[in-house]
Amino acid sequence: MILTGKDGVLRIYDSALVIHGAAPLDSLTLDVVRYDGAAWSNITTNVEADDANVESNFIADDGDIIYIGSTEKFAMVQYLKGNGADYAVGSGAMIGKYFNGTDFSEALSGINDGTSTGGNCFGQDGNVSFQIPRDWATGANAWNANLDSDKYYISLKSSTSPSTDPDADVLAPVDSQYFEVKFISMDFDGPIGRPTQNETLVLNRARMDAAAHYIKGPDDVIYTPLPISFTCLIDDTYNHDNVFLALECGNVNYGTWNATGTSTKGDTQNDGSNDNPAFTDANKKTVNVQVLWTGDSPLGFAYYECYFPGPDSTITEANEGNTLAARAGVYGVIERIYGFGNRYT
Amino acid sequence: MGVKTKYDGKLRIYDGTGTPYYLEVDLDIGDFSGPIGQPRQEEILILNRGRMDSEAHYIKGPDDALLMPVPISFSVYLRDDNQTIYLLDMLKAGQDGGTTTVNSNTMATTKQDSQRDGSNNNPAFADANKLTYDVLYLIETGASDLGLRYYECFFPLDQNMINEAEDGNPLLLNALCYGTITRITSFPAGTSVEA
Repeated sequence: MILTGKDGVLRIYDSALVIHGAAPLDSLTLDVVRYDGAAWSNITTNVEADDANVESNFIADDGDIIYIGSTEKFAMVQYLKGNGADYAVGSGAMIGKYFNGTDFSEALSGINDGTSTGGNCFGQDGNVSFQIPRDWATGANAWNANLDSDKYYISLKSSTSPSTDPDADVLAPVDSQYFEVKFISMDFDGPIGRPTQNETLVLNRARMDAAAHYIKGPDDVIYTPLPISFTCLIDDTYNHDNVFLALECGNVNYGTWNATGTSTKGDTQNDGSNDNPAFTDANKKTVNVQVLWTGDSPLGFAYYECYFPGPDSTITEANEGNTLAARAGVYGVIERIYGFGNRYT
Repeated sequence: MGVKTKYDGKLRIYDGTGTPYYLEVDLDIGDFSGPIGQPRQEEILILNRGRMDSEAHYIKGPDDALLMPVPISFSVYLRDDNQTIYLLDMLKAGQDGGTTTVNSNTMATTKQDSQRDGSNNNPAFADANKLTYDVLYLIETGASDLGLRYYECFFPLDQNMINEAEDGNPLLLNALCYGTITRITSFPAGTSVEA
C-alpha cells in the first residue's frame, strides 16, 4: 500500500531523558520482568524510578534475562545503579533481542551499550540504544504469561556470568519530551540521508590513464546543514504558542512536553566517531524532527539536531487559515525509523 | 506501432556481484530522466591571431570532462512493503560500504566496471564506503525492446528527497552516473534481491 500524507505524524523532540510512565510521558505504562533461568519475577517497582527501591543482583548469571516493555515503542533504555551497591564485573557483552510476534529469537540491530566499560555490560550508568525493529510486535503474553499483551518488549542479558552481580535503581525505557504537530499540511519535505565528501578527480596532465584516481574532499561537506520543511495551520489550542516553543526548544508546557527543552545539538556523530560540534552561540537550540507514516508497517525518517532559524520560518495569513511554514537546517544524523523514539541524547 | 509511454517502462538497479543482485522497482512513478550518452572532451578551437584560415583546427580538451558524472533521476512511491525497504537499504548500503544488507544480501559496487575512455577502467572512489550501482531502464515495445544501461551510478542520499503529499509520498531519486551509457534490448541475468 502506498503511504500518503494522511498516514503521517510529525513530532518534534528535545534531548531530555524521561522514563516511560513518568511525567510528561505518564500516559505510558512500562513493565520490567526478570527470568532467572527457572522463575519469573516482576521487578518494575524497583527499577521504574531513581528512588529508594532497588533491584539487587538483577543478573546473577548468563542465563538470567531481563524483559523490558512499554505501551509505546522505544529506542533507548536507561540504567542507573543509584542506591544499589554494585555495578557488574566480568559480565561480558550485552545481548539484546526483541519480541517479533512469535518469540525473542531476533537480535536488536545497532545496539550502542552505554553501560559497558571494559567490554562488560552494566559496568556503569548509561543508556542502551538500538534501532526500533520493523517487525516489533505486542502480544508477548502469548509467548509467556508473565509478559503483558499490550507492550513492546526487548530482552537484555549478559554474555558471561558476572563475578559481581549488578544492582539497578533504574532499568527502564526512556524517551524525550515531544510535541506532535497538529493540522499539518501533509507537505513534509526532506532528504533521506546526509552528504558524503566530494570525490576530486586527479589526472596526469589532464589525460585519463591507468593512474587516474579520486581523492576525498574536505569534511565540511558532511556537516553542511540540510533543509527540511513542513507547514501547519495556527490555531488557538494545539498549534498556539506551543508549536513555536517546540521549534525553538523552549518550554512547550503542553501534553508530553512540560519543561524547558534540552538542546539536541551534539547528540549525534556525522562522521561516526566524533560528537558533532556545539554552536558557538549558546542561545541557539536544536530539536529532533521525526516523521512517520503508519500503514500496515510504519516507515519514517528521523532528523537529528535541527535548527529552525526564525527568519527562515514564516507565517502567511489567509481567509481559510494562517499557515506557519517551518524550515530547518539538519545538522545531525538522518535515519530511517519504524517507530517513534529518540535514539541519541 | 505506437508511441511508447511511461506505462511501457521498467526500471532495475543492479549491484556489482558476479551474478548481480537486482531490484526491479515496481511502483516507480514513470518519470525517469537521463541522457542517452556520456560526455566527451571539449573541442577547443585554435585560430591564427583570432582569424579563421586554413590552419584553424581544434584540440581536445582535458579528460576530466570525459569522466564528469551525469545526472539521472526517477521517483517511486513510498509503500509499507518489503520492496520499499529493500530500495532504501540499497541506497543506504551505497553510502556505508555495503554494511547494510538488502534482504540479507551484501551489495558490491559496480565502480570501475566500465571505461569512459574505452581503454582504462574508470577510477575507484577515494571513499570506499561509496558504492555505485547500474541503473537499467527498459521500454517494452511488444517487439524489440529498447533501453539504456547507466553504469556506475552513485545515489547521494542528501539529494534523494521525500515530498509528502495527500495522495502519496514520492521519493525523488537522483543519481550521478560515472560510467558508460549503453543501449540495451533486454535486462541482463541476475538474482532478484526480493527472492
